[in-house]
Amino acid sequence: MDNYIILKSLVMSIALIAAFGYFFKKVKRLHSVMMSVDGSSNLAPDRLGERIKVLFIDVLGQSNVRRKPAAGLAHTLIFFGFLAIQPHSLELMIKGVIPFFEAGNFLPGLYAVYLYAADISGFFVLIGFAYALYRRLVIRPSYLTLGRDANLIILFTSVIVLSFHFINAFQMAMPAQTGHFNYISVFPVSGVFARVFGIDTLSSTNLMIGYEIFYYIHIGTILGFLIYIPGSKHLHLLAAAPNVFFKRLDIEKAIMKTDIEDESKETFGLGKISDFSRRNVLNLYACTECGRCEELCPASGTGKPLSPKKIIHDFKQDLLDQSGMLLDNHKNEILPLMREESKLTDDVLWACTTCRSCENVCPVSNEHLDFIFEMRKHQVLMEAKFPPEMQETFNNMENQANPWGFASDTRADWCKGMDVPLMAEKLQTDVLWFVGCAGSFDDRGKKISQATARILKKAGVDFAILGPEENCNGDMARRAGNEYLAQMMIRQNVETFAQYKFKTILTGCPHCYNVIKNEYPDFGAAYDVVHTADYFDRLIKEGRLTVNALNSGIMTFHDSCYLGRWNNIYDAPRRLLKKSVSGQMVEMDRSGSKGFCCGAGGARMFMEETLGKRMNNERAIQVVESGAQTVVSACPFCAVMLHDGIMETGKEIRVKDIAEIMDEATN
Amino acid sequence: MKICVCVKPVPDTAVSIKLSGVAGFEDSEMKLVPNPYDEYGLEEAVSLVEKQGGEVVAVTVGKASAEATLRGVLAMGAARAILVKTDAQFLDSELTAKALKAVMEQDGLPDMIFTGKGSVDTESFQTQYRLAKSLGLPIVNEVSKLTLDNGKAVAERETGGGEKQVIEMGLPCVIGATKGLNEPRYPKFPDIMKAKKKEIRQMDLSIFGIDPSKGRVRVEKLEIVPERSGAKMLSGSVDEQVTELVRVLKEDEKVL
Repeated sequence: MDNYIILKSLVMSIALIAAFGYFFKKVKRLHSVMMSVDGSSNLAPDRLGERIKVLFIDVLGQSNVRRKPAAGLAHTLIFFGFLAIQPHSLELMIKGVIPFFEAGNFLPGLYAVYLYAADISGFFVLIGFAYALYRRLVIRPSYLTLGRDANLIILFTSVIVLSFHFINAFQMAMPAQTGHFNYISVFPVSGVFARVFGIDTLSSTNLMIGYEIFYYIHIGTILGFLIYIPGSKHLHLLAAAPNVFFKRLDIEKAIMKTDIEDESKETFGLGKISDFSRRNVLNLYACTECGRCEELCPASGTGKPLSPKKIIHDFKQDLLDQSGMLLDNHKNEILPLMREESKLTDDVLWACTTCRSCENVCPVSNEHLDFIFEMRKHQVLMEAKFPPEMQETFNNMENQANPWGFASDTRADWCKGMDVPLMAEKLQTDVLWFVGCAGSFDDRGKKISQATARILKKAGVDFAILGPEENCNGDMARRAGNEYLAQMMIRQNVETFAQYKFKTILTGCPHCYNVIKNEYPDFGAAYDVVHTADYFDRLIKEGRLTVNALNSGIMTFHDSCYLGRWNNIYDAPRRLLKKSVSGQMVEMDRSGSKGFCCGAGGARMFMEETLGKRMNNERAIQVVESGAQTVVSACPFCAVMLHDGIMETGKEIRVKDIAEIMDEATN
Repeated sequence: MKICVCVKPVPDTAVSIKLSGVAGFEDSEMKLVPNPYDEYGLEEAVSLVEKQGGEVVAVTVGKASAEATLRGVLAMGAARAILVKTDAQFLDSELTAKALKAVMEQDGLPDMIFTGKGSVDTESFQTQYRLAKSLGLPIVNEVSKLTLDNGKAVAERETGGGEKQVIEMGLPCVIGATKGLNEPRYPKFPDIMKAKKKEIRQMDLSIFGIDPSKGRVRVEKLEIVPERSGAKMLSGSVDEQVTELVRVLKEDEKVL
């Protein structure tokens, strides 16, 4: 027996050193890979207090995973249960090396409470796994990666928890020895195991043998798991918490400004794995392929080859495949991310409408769009590779400052005869109304602008437009990767703004709103920016507009991505509609933060949609299903897309911008 | 292989022209773009040189402001540019061809010359012919496909009705490019940056003894094309619609 104990101690020492050594070596390598990349991120780890709070809410509170209630609850049970049994496993490991070690000797009362709680938690892990298996084997959601990896993990961890209970069962069945900790009443769940499997009837020798067998199964599986984690998607056990800790704290964000005038830079954007930022790499490590991004992605949902989950997976794969060259600092030999055999094709990269559903729903706060924006930047600036139809759009923006290529000096033609003042004449106003390209040139957009102009006049707002001095806001060029052109547009507008005095910039287009509010500050132009939906609400509150409670029948509101997910404006337009018109409001299934993109964002408005179903048609079907007679949007691009989609359905549903509704609904 | 590409800066076709004086237009604020047909010639020249080696030189006769347009041309792959400056808004095709010939002789005659099939502003469609004639070179205009083979150029041009002419000629020659020849590239950003440092040699038209006022074609007067009146929708049965259409064409529009 003594020989056995010495042998066990020896075997355990070697096994523990080997497994933990391997684990730390792997993790150290992953860390080195993360520290070797060159890309920069515009995310500073500031606001420590808030970040610590985030750890409590998102990680310990598990709030993000529980946005899917059933799967989230299962995850919470597994998370806490698994954490709870770890001290016990640690005690067993120490016991294996130092046989006379007994944790129960130190603080027996606390130890008993701990074991009691851990024993119950372990059972909850099993419930969690039962649901996970049910989900993977019976429900089988299409967005979930149903691979061997996940099943192996469930197997590993189930064995760990089951063997935990068996060890406890054997332990409590052993006769209590005086002077030692008494296990008899601390295992409520394992106690059931002991009775059900007849463990409490075994002889003391058999109990010893059984205990030892399950001991090796338990520790062996844990060590196997430890070795397995760093190379699997379950790296998220280690990376998710730091990833969430370093997450973007604000919803509003800007595309990273690239210093294109820096002549020392040989490349721009994301072309190969060494161009990743550390934040990007942490994102890749943190993903566990839960597929929630894919579930909500409008491109995935309409049959495009893009899946945010797969992008992250493929990037991680490429990073690990080529990490040797990165660590050896042979960065010149690293192959580009987009190459002949890579899964990331042009069709994938350009299918994204930048609607931000993926980022919004990601339980580990990954920022998929940062990858897409930087890759597009690289493709356009360094390779001049982009959908061919965009070339004309780029040229139009460069030559006429609008994507359609209408003569730039006709920008104010939409308001001919409406007596809309120009900034160049007034020099100073309360409100500078940035009409935008759609509002100035597109037939649908022009009607929306005319409605807005009438409302502003009704309310007696002191405003002016820029007219021919206005340039495209740069959003489209930027999201299509043309940072050079975007900065050209932005700088021209910033210079124009600086010539005049005004308090607020008003926009009716969420794209103008977002880029001026969140991205112009990087170019030295920080202004108070307000969208019409908010502004009209303000005018009513101030008593400058009176509503007539027009009955507009059954209405639904279509959230624009750049108002909703990009700027967290969901309530204002709904509140405005509720107080202004007397119709009934219904919500589509996909509304609010889960709103389904119209298909125009991310410069998709100007690209052909040849793959899969058309996104706007899909959205139109959702509108029809809501039973609404009118669909209201707050974006001229959404209005165009929805109108075309509704036409396809053949249904008589009105598509109205919120400005048009408000024009009818106010006196 | 040295290739000269003749590039004319023209107003973007989208832009609304404002007249200035009787025979001129406002161009002080106007951003001029390379004549789109010249861009096909430029792209063809640049891709030829990329394959076979050599140098593409962009040659322009125009106002000093053409320098901005030439930067874009240099970004698309021309190695350097020559700008023959004149204040004249309209230089007739004969004088333009003379200036182009003079500057090419001064710089060293090229192995090939590309032009567009015509310019989208004045649409005289003459400069390339006059240039070829004065240099004693063969010319094929409206070329939509070109191959070089053993010192010979084989040019394809569409003659309408789906028919094509295939013309073989020796080098040097003049090629008037048109749509279909290629897709002009969008410049890569590093090329835009490099273009800022490329050479644009500038000289005055007068050094070649050319007097812009001595052109044989003179613009007498410019007028803005009146906006087209709205379309008419005809209704009724097919017979009624046809009767109405004939009446409209005869009586209202007076075209029949």
